[in-house]
Amino acid sequence: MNSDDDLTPEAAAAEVGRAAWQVRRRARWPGWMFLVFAAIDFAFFVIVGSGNRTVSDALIPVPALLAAAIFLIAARQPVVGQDAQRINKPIAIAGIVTAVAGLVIYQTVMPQHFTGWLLLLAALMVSPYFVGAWRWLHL
Amino acid sequence: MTADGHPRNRLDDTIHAPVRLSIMAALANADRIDFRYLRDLVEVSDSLLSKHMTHLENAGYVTIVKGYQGKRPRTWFSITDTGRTAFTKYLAALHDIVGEVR
Repeated sequence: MNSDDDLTPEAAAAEVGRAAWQVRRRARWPGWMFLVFAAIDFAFFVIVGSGNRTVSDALIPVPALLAAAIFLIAARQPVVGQDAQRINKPIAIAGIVTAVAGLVIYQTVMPQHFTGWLLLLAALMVSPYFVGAWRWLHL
Repeated sequence: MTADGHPRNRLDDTIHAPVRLSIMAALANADRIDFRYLRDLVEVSDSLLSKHMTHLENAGYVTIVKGYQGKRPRTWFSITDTGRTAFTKYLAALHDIVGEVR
């Protein structure tokens, strides 16, 4: 693009729309990240909660690896969305709260093997991330 | 309509230039944008982007934050409140000329 080009109002309007669309689309990456995080976390909770000790022990590093991966992915993103602070922080806090509450419920009142309740509990534990994904991908 | 009253007279010259308009439209839709991404988005060279960013920074429309990611230098751009207000007024003038602008 040449900075000395004349810019008609019509061309300006079109360029405003193009640039805004590109940036908004690029800024939605936390939505996809939340979706992947929710899927992996859900599988993790279900597998670990099913009570197979060998598998559970093998999966212990998963949450730490996931957190590290999220940090690295986030640090490499070239666009940070306008609503990043407003959306991500409450979602992260809610995710921690539901995870801790879910673990307490699992340890106190749940059977220590696979049941339908385990699926429901795991879904509730990752529900904040689905909310986060929905909010980003519908902006 | 008088010449002064025509909406084109409300088009901010600092913004109404092809590269700077693209920059402002991009920054108005993000909290911050990385140098390389913005350069590729507006399809200019490093030096031309730097020149326009300095122009916008001098007008108080953007802030430039330089730092490092590991050993790699990284530059972030953000729109200021002044810049956002100016861009909103620019869009309003543009709207009056050509109709709705998203």
